[in-house]
Amino acid sequence: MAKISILTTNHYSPEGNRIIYGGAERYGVEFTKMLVEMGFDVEWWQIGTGWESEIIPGVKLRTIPESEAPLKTLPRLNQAFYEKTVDADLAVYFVTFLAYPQVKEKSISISHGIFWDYPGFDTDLQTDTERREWLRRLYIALNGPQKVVSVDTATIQWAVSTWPGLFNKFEYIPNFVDTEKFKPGDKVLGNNKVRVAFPRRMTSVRGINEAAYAAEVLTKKYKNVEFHFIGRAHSDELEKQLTQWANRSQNIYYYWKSPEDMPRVLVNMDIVLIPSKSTEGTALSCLEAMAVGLPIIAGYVGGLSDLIINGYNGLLIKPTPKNLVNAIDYLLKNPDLRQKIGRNARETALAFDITIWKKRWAEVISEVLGK
Amino acid sequence: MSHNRLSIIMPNLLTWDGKKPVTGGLERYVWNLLALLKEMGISPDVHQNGSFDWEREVNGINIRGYGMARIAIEAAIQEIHGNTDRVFYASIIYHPTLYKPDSVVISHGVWWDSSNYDPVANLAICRQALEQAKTVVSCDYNFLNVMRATLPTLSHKIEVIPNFADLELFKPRQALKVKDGGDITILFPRRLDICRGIDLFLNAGIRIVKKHPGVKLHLAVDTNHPEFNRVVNEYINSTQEKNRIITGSYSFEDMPEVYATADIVVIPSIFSEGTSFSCLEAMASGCTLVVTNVGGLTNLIIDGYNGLIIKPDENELVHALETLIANPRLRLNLSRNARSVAESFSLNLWKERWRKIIREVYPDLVSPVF
Repeated sequence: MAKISILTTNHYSPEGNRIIYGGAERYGVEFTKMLVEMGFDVEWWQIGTGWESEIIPGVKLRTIPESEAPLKTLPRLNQAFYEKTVDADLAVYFVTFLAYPQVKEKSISISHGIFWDYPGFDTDLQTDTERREWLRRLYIALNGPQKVVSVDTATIQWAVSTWPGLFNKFEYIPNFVDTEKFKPGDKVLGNNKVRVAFPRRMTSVRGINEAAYAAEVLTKKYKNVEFHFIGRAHSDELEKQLTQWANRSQNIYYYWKSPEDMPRVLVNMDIVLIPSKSTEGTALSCLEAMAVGLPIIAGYVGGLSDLIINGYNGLLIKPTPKNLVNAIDYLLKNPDLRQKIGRNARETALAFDITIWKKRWAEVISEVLGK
Repeated sequence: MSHNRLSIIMPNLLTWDGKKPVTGGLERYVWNLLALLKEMGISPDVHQNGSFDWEREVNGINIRGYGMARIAIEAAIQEIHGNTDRVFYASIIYHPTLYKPDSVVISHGVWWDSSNYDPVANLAICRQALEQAKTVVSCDYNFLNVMRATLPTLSHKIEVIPNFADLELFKPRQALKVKDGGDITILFPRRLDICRGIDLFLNAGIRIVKKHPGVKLHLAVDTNHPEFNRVVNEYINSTQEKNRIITGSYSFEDMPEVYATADIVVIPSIFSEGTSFSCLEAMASGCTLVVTNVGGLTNLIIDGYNGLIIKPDENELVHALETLIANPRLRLNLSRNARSVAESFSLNLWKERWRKIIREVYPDLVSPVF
């Protein structure tokens, strides 16, 4: 049985206590299930003090106490992983920069989207020298593995516009949705209200502040419109603040649900907001809302333009507060359009069904392993 | 000079001698833009490169060629800047220049995504446009993504207006239905430019034609460079399959018919691609599309929904074509969805999006709306 060792940064927090199922973590779980189904022996590695856990029952996750991250790379973690996995037939670097500086002979890395496209990134790498060095390392990381699987075409386009020679490294495998689990269904909550959902991590790059602003403006304007903010924030304190904020308005709610609960939550919604401003791939939350047949308003960022065709299966906007308010208002006033683009969203989601994702991955893995 | 004059600056709407129109996506784009500006009560004219100084009127539009371009394009642009008031750049200028600040620049997609180009120099060209112009209108989301990933503090200046298809001109001739048996025509409706993938199309296409007696290739190509046509025709004539490879050069008016007689349309771009008119028109015509994952094509096609997306690779193209030839039902589904997606790229929507930008950037030129 071939052995696959996977290196990530933090599937669990480095102390192993706070578990947040964001998109990347869910990708990791589905990816592991797929590899096990394919008959591989799988193990995971991440940053940690030496504790061990499981990523899914029966699949070990081990930790390496190397968290030093100069210039947004983890060379020591990379080296320790290389040395600890001598028995691996294939290495998967779950984040592209983890493949710096050295990769296993047979290896694949995964790009979950462009993550350096926000103005704040400039302050993380303040000098030209730092920026150039970071780029040099990223190039080494992208050039090392046999294949870089990209969840969106934006990353490929950026990489090829920066280093044209990398084109053949890339395989485009967009993210997935289980269209059996996520599908249109009957509302428990009834039709007396129009419900707008923001089913994301509560962070600035996801457009939480723009969405919160839109919620305040539009719940004042319309008494029959509700906003549901569904997802975790980065800390208990932020989650407390969000709860307090939501409590001040009758028609604004804040809560979170496990991924398993999301299908039955989403069927009660009428409009979904994915107003990302940066660091976005082919968002699972976008695909899930599409599969439920909901009209989506998405930021025109990263991989979202691989999923949403403006006016066909959603609206794609420049994610400014004003544009978001106008787009929601437009959909609130046009229930027929909501229906139409929601139907098209479901139809297009079928092209991203998880079975297709597994098939594409199987092809890439067998190509790299060379049978 | 008219008080609501807007001068379009571009490389060549007409050939450099001013004698005949140039065939290409940018030129088609500009003719549509000129019509829209007139509808909005603006008086547009065009300033372009010339092999000598000339002035012509075509379709009621005054067009000036600047012979200075033979010496230095940047000098020609400087001369144009001196001769004009409010300007509109129909494409990014590849030479060092100072854009007029209250202006629009159009990006037709990333053009330097090939080893023939220097990424650093070309990113600097984009930076110049983003820094100096008021608004950069991009025809696709991937140019925007590249800019955001490179110059995040400037990318807010970008607005996206995808290209369009005229849905009345380009439409299925009859209700789309399963075509089981009968001949299959595979169309390549592009210019003979290396970036458009003619080699890829011919190499893969000939392998398909060899294997499938009922398949024909149709090349609908330009004649901007007659020497390219000669090379391609010589190559085709040297193959045993020459009788099943048709080439032609068509006017825009003939293109609806060309698409109507095609079953599969291939857009095999290798680099430098935006939201291709050919792709949009093939979609609107209800053809089944195979496109590459290059530039803005992925903003038009969702793999397995309204077409197939491949890497620009001969084996992948052969595989995609084999799949489509073997599956008439799949061809039908993809082509139906292609037509319905194309309806979100109508000329009217394009005009509506442009009107908003033009009102924002050139409020002084637009008659007030009451």
